[in-house]
Amino acid sequence: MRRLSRAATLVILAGCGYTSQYRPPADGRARPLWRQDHVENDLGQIPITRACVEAIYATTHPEPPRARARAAQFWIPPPATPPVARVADRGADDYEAASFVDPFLTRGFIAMVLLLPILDIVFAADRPELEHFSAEAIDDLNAYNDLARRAGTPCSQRAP
Amino acid sequence: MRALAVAALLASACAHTDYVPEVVARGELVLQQRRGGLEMWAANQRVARSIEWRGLESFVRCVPDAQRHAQQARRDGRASLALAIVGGSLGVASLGSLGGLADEPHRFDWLGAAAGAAALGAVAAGLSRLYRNRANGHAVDALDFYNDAAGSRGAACD
Repeated sequence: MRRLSRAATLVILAGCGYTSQYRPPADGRARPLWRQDHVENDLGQIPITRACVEAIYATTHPEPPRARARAAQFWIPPPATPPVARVADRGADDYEAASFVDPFLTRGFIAMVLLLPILDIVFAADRPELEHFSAEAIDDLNAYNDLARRAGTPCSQRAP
Repeated sequence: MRALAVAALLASACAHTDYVPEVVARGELVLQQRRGGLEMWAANQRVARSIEWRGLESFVRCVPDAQRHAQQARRDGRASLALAIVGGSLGVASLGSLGGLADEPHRFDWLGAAAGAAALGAVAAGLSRLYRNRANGHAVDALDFYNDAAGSRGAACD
């Protein structure tokens, strides 16, 4: 049991990991950085204006947000649930602990044995990096670098 | 509600970058997130991708810090792949051991073997995730060191 719990701890901790050893210089160019299990960017360390932030968003989300149509819907209250009939409590004399524990333990053990291999296969095949956060961070930094290198944008500067 | 949560989880698991940078220096490495994982591109050609990051080491060979990180990315990526295969195989073997439940006299022996294989597989799969994160981290560091020294300045190791 101890070995299993140690193994489980190792599995849980194994999802974490590496943090970038690279330290970005303050030269106005955005970089990707790795934090544990996903990509971040260093845009937070670059002094950019609100207009630049909005330009980055507009660049990475080219379709204008759709105006919300006036909702012709009303809140629909949930249907009233009928009262639940109370089940009469069984007498304690009917309870037999000995015949209950053994099949329960067996079923629990089988359930665990069924679940673990599925977890193995899922963990082995799954990608641990948080893709949604990584994709967003990468899009933002690439958009910013493009805007910073172009003249006449809210982010324009002499970025290397 | 459960279906929505599962769909959201699946959708986030397949997230990818939407924006392709246009103002890029000649030898500059660009990071992208595709359906198959992280990728690095230069001059509109894919240089390397996760897990193994093959090709990155030779691309950044002229920048020592970048090459060192690219080598580590390749090693960690290979370890991740090997451990993923071991973990998945043990998981499949564990499921196969459950067929021994039909062997009434040795049922718990089979269950014990299945549980042991599954536990080992879980450890291997967990270590695979660790090494994959490390490989990606080293690859991103290699990109940053290389771009600082050469890529963003319009230079390349070729």
